[in-house]
Parts: sequence; structure tokens; C-alpha cells
Amino acid sequence: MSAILSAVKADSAAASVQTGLAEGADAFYRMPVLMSVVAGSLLQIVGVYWDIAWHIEVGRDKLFSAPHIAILAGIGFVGVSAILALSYGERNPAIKRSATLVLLGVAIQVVALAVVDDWWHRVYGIDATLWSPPHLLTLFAASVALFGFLLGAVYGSASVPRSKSIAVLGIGLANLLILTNVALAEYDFSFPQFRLAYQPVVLGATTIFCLVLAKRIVRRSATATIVAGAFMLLRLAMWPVLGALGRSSRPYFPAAIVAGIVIDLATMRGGSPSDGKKSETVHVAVTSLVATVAFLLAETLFASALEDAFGLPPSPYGMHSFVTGGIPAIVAGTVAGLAGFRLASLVQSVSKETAIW
Amino acid sequence: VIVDRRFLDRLIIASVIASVTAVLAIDTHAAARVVMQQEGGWKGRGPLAVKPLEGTETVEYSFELSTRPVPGEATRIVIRGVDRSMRRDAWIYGQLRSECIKVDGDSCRYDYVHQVGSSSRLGHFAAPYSPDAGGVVINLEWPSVGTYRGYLRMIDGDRLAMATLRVEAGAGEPDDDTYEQRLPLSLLGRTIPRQSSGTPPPGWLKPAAYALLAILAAAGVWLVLSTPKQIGRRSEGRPPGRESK
Repeated sequence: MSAILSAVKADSAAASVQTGLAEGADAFYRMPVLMSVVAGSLLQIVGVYWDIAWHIEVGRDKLFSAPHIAILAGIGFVGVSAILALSYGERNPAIKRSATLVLLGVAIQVVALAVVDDWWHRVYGIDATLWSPPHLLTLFAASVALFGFLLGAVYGSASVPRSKSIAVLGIGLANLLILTNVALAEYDFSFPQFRLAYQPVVLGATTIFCLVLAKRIVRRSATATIVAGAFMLLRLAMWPVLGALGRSSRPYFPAAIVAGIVIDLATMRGGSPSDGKKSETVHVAVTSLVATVAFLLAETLFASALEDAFGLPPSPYGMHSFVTGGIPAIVAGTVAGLAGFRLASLVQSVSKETAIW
Repeated sequence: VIVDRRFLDRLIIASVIASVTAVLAIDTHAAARVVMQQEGGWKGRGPLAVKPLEGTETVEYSFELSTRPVPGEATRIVIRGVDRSMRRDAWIYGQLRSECIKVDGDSCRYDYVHQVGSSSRLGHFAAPYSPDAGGVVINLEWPSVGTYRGYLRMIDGDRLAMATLRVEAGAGEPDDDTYEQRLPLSLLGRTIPRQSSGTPPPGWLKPAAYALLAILAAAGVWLVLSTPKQIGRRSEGRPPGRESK
């Protein structure tokens, strides 16, 4: 292991000398790091949906069930990616901080899932919900870890070809959208355990937050649409994957692309004032509000269409949930859009190359 | 309208704490009802019966069947609150399938109920609250004569209730009688103590866990917001960049 890390450090130093950039700035773009992150993220996503389908169809049996092993392995891969990034950029404070954030998230995930969650199930039994404290802590820690990766990728974006930085950031941001939407998995499987009014609130907030964040970090004309489309494709891919794993449950996936199109259109039409102006905040708030309304209304039609086309179980994603949760959802989506905007501004402050996006 | 960025930061952290605390308050309220009572065994008369989970408190709901379940005919089932009216965002879901129909050897074939208007083929059914009916209305069709078993879950406000379900579908013509009865459902509160341990966890445990979660989440948000600033300071405003052209 030490020999591998030494080779990694030598490789990093040589690359930095050649490009003249801060040493190890491209740590999060190195192929071993990217492969570990992608593998880890996919394992976690598949593991989570597999686990929920397992809970519904089989029940929770033990800590080391097959889906749990997939999730823990995924967390392990992300941890490895952070260690590799630390090795590539050990003399670079920005990379060290970003990788440390990833490692911190991974460590909390492991403790929350393997220790606290197991204890929680022993105390509260098999029928605990996805919104139990250990589960929510795991999801939150995973988001922190992914944010660490995104931060490192934004920092190093100027040290790699533009197309590569856009692709990596796009994948990372789509992954963040998937991860935050995992919180709604029980609704997606038509197996909700909390009242329906919460579903549009969480859906609106997580989706608009991630898409505004994506749009503000990668300033391309169709960023939000592409990120939302990638999210929907990956979620659709869960169907054959779960089928191959022997589960018959097929989780619903939201029509996030509608929100993505609205956010992209709002920016394309010249409504986005230049950075630093107060009116920009107002523009983001209005865009987020309109995107949330359009998204939630489209959701009711999309849910019905998916059910008819693919024989999904009757879905809680319908007009009935928006009747009770619609107004709080629109408020939540607007506030979340502003939060995404603010976070993007902070993330951009680590790189001067924002003009290229 | 001008929004200060520091105000936004505080708003984000406050939102995290408020959201988690809201879940804490709601969930704790439901969990408080969970007590150890023995309520085992099938309850009900006529074609519909339910079986609450052992070791849970129960709550009664009214079940009204429009007719005796008969293959080829839809049965309208209306479920209403008894001790209080149902909440407007109530939701009921479940699954019903026949008992094992032997095909060859030990392999089984199952017939699944079909909810009218649904394309689900595996016996899943679900419906929201209907203001017109004052409850949840489910229309089910029975593919064959026999006993159908499954489960029913209900979200009604902060209640999460469930029971095992059994329905007898008979031969012949549907009758004009309506079957109405009060049946008990288990109140889950999302916190069923394991039967093996027998004793429920202390009441303060769950609120404390959610409170700790809220604190950790707020700390995490603070960390996420402060790290980019720290990176910017460390780099003295000179992060790596391409040479200007």
C-alpha cells in the first residue's frame, strides 16, 4: 500500500511540474479517484434501492445482508477515493480540505450505518422508517462526502480540459440529486410511512436545491436539464437492476427534467443579472418558485402516465398530496433554490475560472 | 426585495434545524402511543377480517363493503375514521393475493386482486382520502373464488396503522347487503419493539436521537458553508487557473 501511495505522490508531483499549476490541484480528476467515486456511488445507490425493496418484500434480516454489504462497499470505495486524492494533493491545502470533508462524511456514514443503525433496529425493531435518525444521518453524511468531492473538483477544474471538468461536475451534481432524493424512497416504492403532505415538500426542496446549485456551478445553457435527465435515467435504470437482483418492486422516479428546463430557460432568456448584483437573488427566487410550481404540477400527470404505461402500483405522487402539501412545497422549493444559489456562490469562490462555465 | 447573503446562511441552518425538529415532534407524538397490549387473533365478521400485530395498541376504523366479494364483480370498500374524522391527506395502501394454488409439485400460483382503474398487476392497491365519501374508497375485483390474504397500511395524519387482511371471495351473484363493521388496526408509530425483547425503549430515547441529529446536521451545514471560505483564504485568492490568453 505504501508503495502505491509513493508512486501516486511521484506521479502527482511530475504532473504539476509539467502543467505549472498548484501541485495536486487535479487530484479529484485522476482516473483512480474518479473510478473509485463512481463505483462507490453506484454501489450505494443500487444498494439503497435494493435494500428498501428487500425490506418491503423480504424484511430486514441482519446487518450483513446483501444490500447492506453493497452499501458498505460503496462507502468504502468513496473512502478510498478520498485517500487517493489526499495522496495526489498532499501539499495542496485546498485538496486536503476537500478530501478531509469526503473522509469525514464517509466515517460518519460507516458509524451511523454499521453501528448506530444496527443498534436502532435492535431497540426499535424491524419496522423502523427511512426517516429514522441513523438513516437520515447516513444520508446527510453521504451528501457531505459528495460535497467534498464537488468542492475538490471545482477547485481543480482549471487544471484539466474544460470538457472533462464539465463532465465530472455534471455527474457529481446528478449524483447529488439522486442522493438527496433517496429520502423519498418509501414514497417512490408506494410504501410511505409518513403523511403524504411531506412528499411534495421534500421533493420540491431537494430537486430545486440541486438543480439551482448545478446551474450556478456549471453555467452551460442546458446544465439543469441534462443533470435532471441523467438523474431520471439513472433512477429508471434501477428497474432492470432490481429485477436482475430478484426483486419485483419498481420505484417511481420524479419528472425532475421539467424543473431543469424551467431553470435553464429562465437563465437563457436574459433574466439572470450579472454576479454580485442584489437583483440576482430576486431572479433566483422567482425562478425557483416558478420551477417548483411547474415541476409539482407536471408530477401529478407524470405519475399517472408512468402507472398506466408500466403497471406501477398506485402512486402517492398525485394531486391529492399537492392539495395538502402544495403551498409549503412551493415555499420550500423557493428557499431551497436560494440555498443552492448561495452554496454555489461559495463553491465558486474557490476557483477564479467561473467564467468558463 | 433584497436578501442579504449572511441572512441566507442563517436561513439555511435554521431550516435544517426546523425541519429535523418538526419530524422529531411529529414522530415522537406518534411513537408515544406505542404500548404493549395483547391484541392477537382475527377480528371481524362476514367476508372481511383483520389481524392486528401482537404487542401494539390498536385503533378502530369503520370498514364498509358495498357487497359480498364475488369474482367478476367489483367490491367497493370504504374506510372511515371512528374516533376522529380522517385527515385530508390520508392514504391507504396494501396488497391482496389468493392462497397458494398448487400447479405442479410444490410450486404455487397466486391470483391477485385488481384495483379498478389501476394497472398494477400484483395485487397492490392504494387510494387517497375522498372528501365526497368522507373516507378512503377502494374498488377491488376478485379473479377467482377463495381466500385472499395480504396487508393494509394507513397513513392518517400522524398515525401509521396496519393489519393483516383476509377477504373471502365466494361464488354466485353479489348480494344487495352492505357489510359495515368496526375493525382494529395496529398503531405502529414506526416504533415496534422487538417481540423477543418485550420491553419498549425509554420514551426519551427517540426525541434525544432526533435532537442530536438536528445538532449534527446544523454542524454539518456550517462545515459545508465554511470549507469553501477556508480554501479561498488558504489560497490567498489565487486558486489554480489557466493562463490568461
